Amino acid sequence: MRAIGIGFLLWVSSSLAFGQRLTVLPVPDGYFSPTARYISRNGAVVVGSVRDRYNEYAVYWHNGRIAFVPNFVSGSAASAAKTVGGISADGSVIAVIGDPFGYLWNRTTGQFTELYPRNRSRQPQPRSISADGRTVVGSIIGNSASPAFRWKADEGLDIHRHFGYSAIVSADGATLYGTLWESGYAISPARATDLCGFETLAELGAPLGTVPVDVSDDDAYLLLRPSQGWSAAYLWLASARTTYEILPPPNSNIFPTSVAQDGTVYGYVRLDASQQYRLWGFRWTIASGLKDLNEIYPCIIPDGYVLSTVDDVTPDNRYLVGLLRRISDNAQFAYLLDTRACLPGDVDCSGCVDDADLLIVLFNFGATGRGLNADVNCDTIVDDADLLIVLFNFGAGC
Amino acid sequence: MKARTGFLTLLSALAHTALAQSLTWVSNVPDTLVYAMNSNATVLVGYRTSAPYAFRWTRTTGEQALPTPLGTIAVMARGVSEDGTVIAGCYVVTGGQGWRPIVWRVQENTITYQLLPLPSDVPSGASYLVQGISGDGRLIAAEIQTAYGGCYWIDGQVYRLPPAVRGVQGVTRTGIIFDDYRWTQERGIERLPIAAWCLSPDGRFGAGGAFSNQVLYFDPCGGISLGSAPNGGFGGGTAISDDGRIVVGYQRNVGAIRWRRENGFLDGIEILNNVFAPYLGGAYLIFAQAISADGRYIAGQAALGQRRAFLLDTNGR
Repeated sequence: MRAIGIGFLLWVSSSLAFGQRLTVLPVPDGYFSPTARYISRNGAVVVGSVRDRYNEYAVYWHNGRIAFVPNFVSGSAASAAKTVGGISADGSVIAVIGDPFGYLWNRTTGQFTELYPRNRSRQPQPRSISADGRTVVGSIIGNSASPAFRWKADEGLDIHRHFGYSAIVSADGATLYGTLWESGYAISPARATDLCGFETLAELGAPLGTVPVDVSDDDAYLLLRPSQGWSAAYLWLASARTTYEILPPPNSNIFPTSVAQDGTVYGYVRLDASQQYRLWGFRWTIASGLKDLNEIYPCIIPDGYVLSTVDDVTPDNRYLVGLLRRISDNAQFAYLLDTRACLPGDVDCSGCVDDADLLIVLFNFGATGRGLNADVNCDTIVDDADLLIVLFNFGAGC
Repeated sequence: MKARTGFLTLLSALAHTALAQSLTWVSNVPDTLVYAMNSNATVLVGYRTSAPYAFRWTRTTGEQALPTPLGTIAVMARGVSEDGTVIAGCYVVTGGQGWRPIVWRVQENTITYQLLPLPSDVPSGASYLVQGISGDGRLIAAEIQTAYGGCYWIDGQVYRLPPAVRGVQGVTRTGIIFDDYRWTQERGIERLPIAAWCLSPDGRFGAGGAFSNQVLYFDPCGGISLGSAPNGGFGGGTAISDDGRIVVGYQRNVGAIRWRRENGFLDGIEILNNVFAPYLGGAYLIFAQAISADGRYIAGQAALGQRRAFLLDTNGR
């Protein structure tokens, strides 16, 4: 519980821009089971959801504070903000998955945009949004199926003629990635620049029967998963026309969620399909393969907690969001992880090893456990060794 | 000054009248319908469903009855050439053996008819359901019922369509014969994504219907369901504008319908009785069967006490 308290403190002090730090995102009293689904590309805004006893509510975190995404109300039309389908690069436009229909909400202007006002009994739900927030794709209950749709700020919504179910959109809004379906079976992932044509990616080295999950901002890397089952993830390299298979450990399932600009893949692994709480977030790179984030960041994950999922990453790999699990009671917390490395001894990661760093170590002297800021050498105790590291580097970067 | 103001008011009123949507009854005969029109809706043809009567209508002549062979008990005018002088249809005579093809020609104020020859390889009892005529009036096509495929006439000479053709649904102004295929002498049979009830002159766009109460459509991108008007029931698209962006037709429970590409594929179907209610004078548009090249004019059958052929000027609405 102490670690959670630290998390709140860090948020309050967010202007200090702490680095390589895990921050638990606050949840209002009476709400629980938060999710952190997306983070804006600039790392400023996290969007997700919280629950109370009866409902799920879309929320966002900004400057260390949580706020509810407002419900859509216009005349006789109303839709409750349940969760989120994406966020623009600057964090201003939030794509809201609503009940009964999805919509956009501009956090800066307060403006609502209904994705499909023509028939309010339809349920368009956003799944992906371009960096500028002007293109949204998702799925809609259509005339005879559930086709993928594209909404553009200047053109409105229409369906893609060949992509079934959902699709994702590139950062520049120009390319849709979806899947061709035949009689309920995924045939091939494909990309399209309009709502009619498509280019199947199987001919370009992507695996058959897969569904796009995420695409890097420059379209160089496409993250895919099988249309059925969770036995593997795939990273397709557009330029090399090559696919890397990402396999989980034996008897595990893998859930890819996000790919960074350099092709680093994130997601989570379920160790045993029958034990839903045994999840761990992973990072995968071509060079290093699959790594447990709990092993990569042992110093910043508090005692008694497991970093169980990664749900999104900023293109530069710096910020991760996902879920943190408290082992004792399986309670779930949303987190923001800033992976930026700091100078040795720069405890507050201000870019300068100074009195402030020294004071943090002194104030926490003797403290034990994981996830302590002042535990500079990460040996689970704040002691002389940490003090010496700060002193030896005193003045660096200042 | 007062006189000038009055003149301007009159001009304004005239302009308003010229721009207004309007419904025109093009037949005074009950149970009539419009089946086809030329591209600018200056010539319409149709027939009566309850008695042997076919007609031609123009803006200048109004309704003109088409002559029929002696003993005709049923007749249908099913297509008209662009200049309105050649009309194709079919008729049945007492004691006859099914529908037979007929062509009417208009010269000055005189309308004459010509009976078309039949293919020699088809049993004499077969019916020939004439489905349309090309814009130049030279090509006429018919479905031979039942199970004998189709045939066409060029300049009065009869030819059989390829054996793979199981039916004929229509002929475009450009002379493309179609059903679930499109056929020309030059290109042969090309399968379409749907069974088309109508086809654009360039053969790239078409519409039809399905027993799932869905209106179907295709374009160069492929076939797609346009869905249904709310509680629309069975129906489909029966006529399409030249650019393929407007389809008209019917659904059983709501009458005449229209789909416009600009409304998208999800909910683009409009119920014309709702859209044009202020201009219908209480009439109910039962179905739309023909459309002008630009989509402005729609014709079919409407009811106001009795059922009669109508022409609707949508005037951009």
